[in-house]
Amino acid sequence: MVTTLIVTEKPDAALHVAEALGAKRAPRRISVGGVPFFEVEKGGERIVVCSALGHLYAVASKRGEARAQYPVWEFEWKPKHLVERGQERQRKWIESIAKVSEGADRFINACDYDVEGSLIGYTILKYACNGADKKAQRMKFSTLTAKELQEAYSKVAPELDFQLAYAGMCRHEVDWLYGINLSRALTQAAYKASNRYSTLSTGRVQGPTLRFVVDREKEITTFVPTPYWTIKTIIDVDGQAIEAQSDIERFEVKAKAESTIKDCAGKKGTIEKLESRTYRLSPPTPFDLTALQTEAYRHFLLTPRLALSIAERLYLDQMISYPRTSSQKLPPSIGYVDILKNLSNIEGYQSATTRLLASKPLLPNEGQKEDPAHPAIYPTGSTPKRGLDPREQKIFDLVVRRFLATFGETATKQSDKATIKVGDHKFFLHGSRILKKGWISLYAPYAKFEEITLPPLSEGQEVAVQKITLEEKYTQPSPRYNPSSLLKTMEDAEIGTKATRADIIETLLRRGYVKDQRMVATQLAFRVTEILTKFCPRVIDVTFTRELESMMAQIEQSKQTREHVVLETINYLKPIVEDLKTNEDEIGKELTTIIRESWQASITLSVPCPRCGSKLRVVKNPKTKKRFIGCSGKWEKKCSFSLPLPQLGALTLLERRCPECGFQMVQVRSKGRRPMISCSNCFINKSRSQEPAKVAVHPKISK
Amino acid sequence: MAEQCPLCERPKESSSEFCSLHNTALRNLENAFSSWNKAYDGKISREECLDKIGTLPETGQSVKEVIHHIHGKGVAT
Repeated sequence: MVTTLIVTEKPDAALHVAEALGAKRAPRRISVGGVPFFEVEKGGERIVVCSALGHLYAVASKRGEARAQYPVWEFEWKPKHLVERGQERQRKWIESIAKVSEGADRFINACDYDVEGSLIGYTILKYACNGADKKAQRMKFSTLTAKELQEAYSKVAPELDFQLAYAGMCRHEVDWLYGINLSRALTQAAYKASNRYSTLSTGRVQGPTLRFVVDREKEITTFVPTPYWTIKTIIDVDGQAIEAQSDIERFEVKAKAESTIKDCAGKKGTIEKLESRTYRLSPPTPFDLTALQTEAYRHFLLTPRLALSIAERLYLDQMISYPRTSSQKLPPSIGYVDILKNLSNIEGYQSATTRLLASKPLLPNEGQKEDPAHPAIYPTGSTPKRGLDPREQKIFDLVVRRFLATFGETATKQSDKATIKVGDHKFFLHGSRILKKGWISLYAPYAKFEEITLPPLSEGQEVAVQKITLEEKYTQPSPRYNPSSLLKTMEDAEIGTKATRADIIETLLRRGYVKDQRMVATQLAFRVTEILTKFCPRVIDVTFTRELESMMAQIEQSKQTREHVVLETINYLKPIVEDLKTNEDEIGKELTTIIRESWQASITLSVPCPRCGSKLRVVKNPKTKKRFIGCSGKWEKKCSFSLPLPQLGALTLLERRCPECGFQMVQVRSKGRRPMISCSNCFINKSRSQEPAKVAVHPKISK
Repeated sequence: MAEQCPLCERPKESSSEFCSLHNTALRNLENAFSSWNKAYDGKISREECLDKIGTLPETGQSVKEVIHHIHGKGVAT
């Protein structure tokens, strides 16, 4: 009997593949060295499906230099457990896959069909399965539904998508060369100057991204507002008071605004002109990943990374298609009618799907962006097999309603404008209403339009200025980035990929370069960017990064080779790293002060001790290793004030105050979890008043 | 090592009292004065202008530090 080994990316995907290929018989779960495999039989063929745990192999230095040594230009791919700490599971996985592969005659890569998935499968087949990459085949699919998996298996590609895998390898190698050399240079410089180890990092995409944030912060911190004035006018139209806008939106000179008020106060006016315009509002385009992340942030304040992780969960549960896509296309082959019919079985979508199914032909309003591997994100129509948590439910609902809306009819909106003349001055009354809801009703509640209805008006009609007042205002600085707008800026600058951008933003937060969801650049970010600008400005310049992105995309199309791109990177980096090495002492001196300050700031609360007024700090008990808030007046003032802190996860002191007690709030971030914001003061007060103690976790109120 | 900016840890820019950041803040402040003067028809003094800018929430932190420094030195005329 022929044995086929299918490699998938995640355990859930392995189960779905096995279930789909096993037809009516449930797959047999076997364990090899504690690693689960799924076994099925199909027409005389034994199929064993295994899963990776993300990447099982990683780039590492060929010579195994000490961690502090740089530059490093020679590298190779090694099992991840030999490269990174805490990867013991990966070792077990590699050994078990290698063992099972010995009895296999046929190999298939069924990891996600994109650069990372192709690379994960390729490295496992090449290194763990003894060079099986040469004879392996490739399954390509965009959803984990049984129908699509069966089809992907029957139409399996005869060989691996080597170009995608090479592009993926190249990306990892280039990023490793950047990260290892530049981050080590910064870290070493700081260490030599201060004799204290602090991890400082920069990277090919991280550097330019941080520069976006720092440049914006500089703009904000050096911003000087200038005054301007607006006029608020209430017009009496047949006894109805309506707010009108002056034809001069902002007055740069106060005297001119005052003179307008003087001319118009208490005066009569005439409706000089009535205009109406009708606009067509096209349905939205289907979701690509960035659009989904942007909408998820706009409506639910979910960070791009969280939105992606929820979408991936829904993909693994067969509910939506593969989310890491750049496509805004929905080809007919996905089966519009079947999806709509299946969606009508899910509560809340019946009336919308019935409406759409009755209207023919079904044509989505596709956007321009394409992705050779996947269509836009769409719901499969599968009903949830488990209860979705509130955030999963939100993302699922957003994907479904967006999908429905793309098939909706064009909406029409009417804008009305009345021009009122008061002496030599003009004012406008604006109204707007939706004439035909079309797709808007399908995308509700995510599409909102404010309707303002004007009363019946006629040209020549007399009206009166009921109230006219002056409002002093000031110009505003550009807003800070939020995770969503920063992601969009990265995409517009063509740096990073749809799969990596959200992670880069998280890295900026984790490294202490950025505080808060408002993306406030810290002093450390300022200083690192200034040092890079001074000693190696090309590292934070988007130009070369963008060129690299383009070259790596060309590898996917066989127009460029991985070796060439890596060589170009080394040639580009060598003089930069040499410069950094030469200036190590000066860089170290400049970094040391800010590292010390940043560290002090990161552990010092902005609220004083309520007992003695001294500074409160995050302290670690040297014996128990537990952290807590302690008073710096402990020795001088004998103050014993302390408050408990969450023990697990990365702790950040937020600028935000507790809405209940006004104490400074803290945030704990643990990998794969939503940040938890809490107030230590409320925690201790509630613990004292209620037994047993309950954790006082405030709802996330970040904006 | 270069001399330090009186408002932060950064090195002073050559031929300037401040670092690059505070120098930009000072430059923006000087440039804004003509807009303020025009907005109030020349009826606002530099001192009043600085006072007002220093209290606005829209004003950047580095600008506020520069204003504080100018006031401290008593040269805001």
